[in-house]
Order: sequence, then C-alpha cells, then structure tokens
Amino acid sequence: MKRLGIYATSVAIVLVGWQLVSALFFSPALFPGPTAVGRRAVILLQEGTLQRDVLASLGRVLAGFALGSVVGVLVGFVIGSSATFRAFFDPYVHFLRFITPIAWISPVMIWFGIGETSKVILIMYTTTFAVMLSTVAGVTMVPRNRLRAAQACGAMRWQIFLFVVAPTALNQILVGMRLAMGYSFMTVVPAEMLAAESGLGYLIIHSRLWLATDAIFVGILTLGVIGLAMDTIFRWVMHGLLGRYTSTA
Amino acid sequence: MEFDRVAFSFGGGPRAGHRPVLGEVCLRIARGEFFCLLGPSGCGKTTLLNLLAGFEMPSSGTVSVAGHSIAAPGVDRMVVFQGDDSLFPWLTAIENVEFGLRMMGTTREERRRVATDALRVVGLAGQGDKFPRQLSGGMKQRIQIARAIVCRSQVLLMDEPFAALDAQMRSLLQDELVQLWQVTGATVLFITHDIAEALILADRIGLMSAGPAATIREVIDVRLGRPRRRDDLEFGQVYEQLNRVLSEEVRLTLQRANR
Repeated sequence: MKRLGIYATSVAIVLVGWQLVSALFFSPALFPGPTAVGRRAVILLQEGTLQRDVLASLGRVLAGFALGSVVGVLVGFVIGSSATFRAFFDPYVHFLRFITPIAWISPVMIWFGIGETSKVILIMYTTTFAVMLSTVAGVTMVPRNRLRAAQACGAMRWQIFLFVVAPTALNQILVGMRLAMGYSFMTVVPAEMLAAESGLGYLIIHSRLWLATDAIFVGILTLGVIGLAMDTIFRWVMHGLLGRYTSTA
Repeated sequence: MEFDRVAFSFGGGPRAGHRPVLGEVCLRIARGEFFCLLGPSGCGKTTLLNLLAGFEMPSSGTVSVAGHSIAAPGVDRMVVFQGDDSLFPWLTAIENVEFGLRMMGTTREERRRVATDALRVVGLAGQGDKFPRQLSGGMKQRIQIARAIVCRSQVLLMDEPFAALDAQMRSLLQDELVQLWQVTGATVLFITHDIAEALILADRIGLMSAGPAATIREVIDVRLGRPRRRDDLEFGQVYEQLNRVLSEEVRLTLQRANR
C-alpha cells in the first residue's frame, strides 16, 4: 500500500511538472502537455485507430517473440550442450551482437516484402538472439555436483537433461525472454516506421507529417504503457507460476 | 572396494604439462568398513572419491567395487557432496530425496513412503515440504544423506560433507552418521581434513601425502571403542600422533607451492 502511494505521488509530480514545463516554456504545438495528449488519445480511441495500432504492434511483437523464444531455447540447448558447438558458434555470436535489427530491415524487406512476415521475422531475430544467449548461459551454469548427484542417482542422459539441466536453466531463460520482450518493442517501432500501414511506429512517423505532436506523444506513451503491462504479466508468470524455479537459493 | 596401482592426471595421460594428481595408489577397503581419507587440501582426496564414484576414470590402474571395475556412476555408490549446490533447489526436501527412485521409475506412492521413512531417519520428519533454501546447512546435508540412503546402496561416498557446518552441528551429524552406518552396514568412504572428525568416525584412516602425485602415506587402525568420546585420553594421544604427520605434509605442500 505504501509503495502504491509512492508510485501515485511520483506519477502525479511528473504529470504536473510536464504540464507546467509545456505551458510555461514551449508552444503547445511543439511540446504538448499531458492534457493535450490525453485529449488526443481520447479522439484516437473514438476513431478506433489507437486500438488498431496497438493491436497491430502487439500482434507482431507477440508473434515474433513467441517464435523467437521457441527457436532461441532450442538452439540454445543444442549449442549449450557441447563445448565444441559453443566454440563453433562463438565468433558469430559476437559478430552478430553488433548488428542491430534495424540494419536488417532493408534485406528482410527485399526478401519478404513489406507485409507482416518481414516485421515478425525482425522481431524473431532479436528475440532468438537474446533467448539463445541466456539459454546457453543457463545450460552451462548447472553446478557440476548437481549433474554428478543426478548421475549417482542413476539418471540417464535424457533424464539429466529433462530433470536437471532444463529446470536449472529455466531461470536464465526467463531472464533472457524478459530482456527479449524489451528488444522486441524496440524493433517493432522502426520496422513500422519504415514499412507499415498500421502500428504504433506508423502512428508516430505518420503524425510527424501533420506536425501532430500530441498524437506522436500518444504513440510514444502507449509504447511505454503496453511494454510495462507485458513486463508485469511476465514477472507474474515468472515468479508466481514458475516461482519454484526462479527463487534462487 | 579396491584401488590397484591407480594413477590419475587431468588430461588423460602422464604427458608433459599434465601434473599427475595421484601417484600409484593401492588401497583396499573392506565391506562394511568406515574408512576416512585424511590429507592436506588439494592433495587429491576428492579425486580418489571421484574415481570410485565413476565421475573420473583413472589414467592407469583399476578401481573396483565388489570385484567389478568401475566404468560409470551408478546407484550402487551414492555420493554426498560438501556444498548444497548438488541439491535440486526447485524440488522440496522430500522430492529431492525421491529423485533417485523417480529415475528408476518407482511408483509415486512407494517413492513417497520410502522418502518419508528416510527423512525420519535423518531427523527431518515433517520438513519434507520445505525447499532447500528454507533449511539450514545442517538440514541440507541431511537431505543429501536421505537422498543417498533411499537407493539402498551399500557404498556411501562422502566428500567433506560436514566441512561447512558449525562445530555443534558437525559433531551432532557425526554421531548420527555413525549410528546410521551401524544400522545399515554400508561401506563408507569419508573424506575430511579434520583429524578429530576422522577419529570419531573411522575404523581406519588413510593419510594422504602432499601432492602432486599424491599417494596414501600410511593407513592407521583406529583402535578406539564405540561410541567414541572426544574427551578420551587415548583420543588425544592418537590425535597428536596424526597431527604431527599431517602437519609435516601440509608443510611439504607449502614448500612445493613456493618453489
């Protein structure tokens, strides 16, 4: 309760400060205050475009995130299971780490067109990468004595994987997925700015043409709000549903 | 259990660059015996245990249990480790204890029944639903012991299991372990660097020499009656005798390290 109070106070102070700064120092057309942004949000909701953009962005993020997580976990388990595989893939990992998904927009658009596929693939790329790295880390972090204890208990290779390695790695995997969710949001916006007819990225870039700064802010703030909502759901799954795997000793 | 001229180096062979951990070790431990390996830190005590457990393979020589040479880990030789990272933190105490039975495909009811018994034996009755992180260091070691005894293995390999516990908990667990050993009749190989611990527990103590290429310097019969008392006059005398030998080996280890 006390924390909730602090949260509310913090949000109130920022909103009031924002209103004051925008009213006192800027022209409302350049830097609209929260009331102007709120009014525009209501209009966009009434028109139905905000819902449409949110659903479009969220759908792309969730599809790419889900596919990327599955691929990332599978590839991570394979690479993590052998020192030879790790060494084999290591150079590419560090090479690709520096190539932002934005750089891939051009080739991906050429290969897959400007439809949904290209956006989902870009988000999948970021997610796969983050989840794969954390899975490899999780798999290689299994304490040696835990593996040995399982061996002494008569566990076979598949049993060790299923009952020891996977549960030990799960916490790391979830941490990676949580990061990947953030990366997915960061990827979807530029992709929609460059090639889309809907989505929050489209809303932001399209509003610029009309100098509709209030609509731009609606798009930016909505990104934060749905990101926060997704993260809250994720944390709840991680610590509530899967708590026995994520509470570290 | 027998070590027949067992040598071990990391990397497989006695090649250049691979410092031999064990020289030629010969040792025979009788069925039902409580054997303590005592030696300076880093001398290769754990390596000996790993060879028996099947976690490592000797570079030369053979390690055998009941006449069969060891090729892999198995439920006939259970291991209790020093730290708590060998426990499964996502499983409750009783689920940890059941692990071996689950791997064997024992039914859920049977598993629960045997594990409940084992928890009672190690003094954890009623604690089965707690997770390891909710239990003290001593209790976590008891879970490990319970996990080992449910598989009814006749060999128990213990790698400094009480080293991280406070003195009171340690001596309590030592007494309980002796009782458990007397009831089950298992053969125990127990590693320690604590002379008093070896004297409380062991029928015989193998003193290891300083590494590299460590061997068993001598094997001492502990002719003290049971139950043993730490304030016995004889206990003190044997302690001093062992202390002299061990100090010498520790000095050697340091000299070699400084060279």
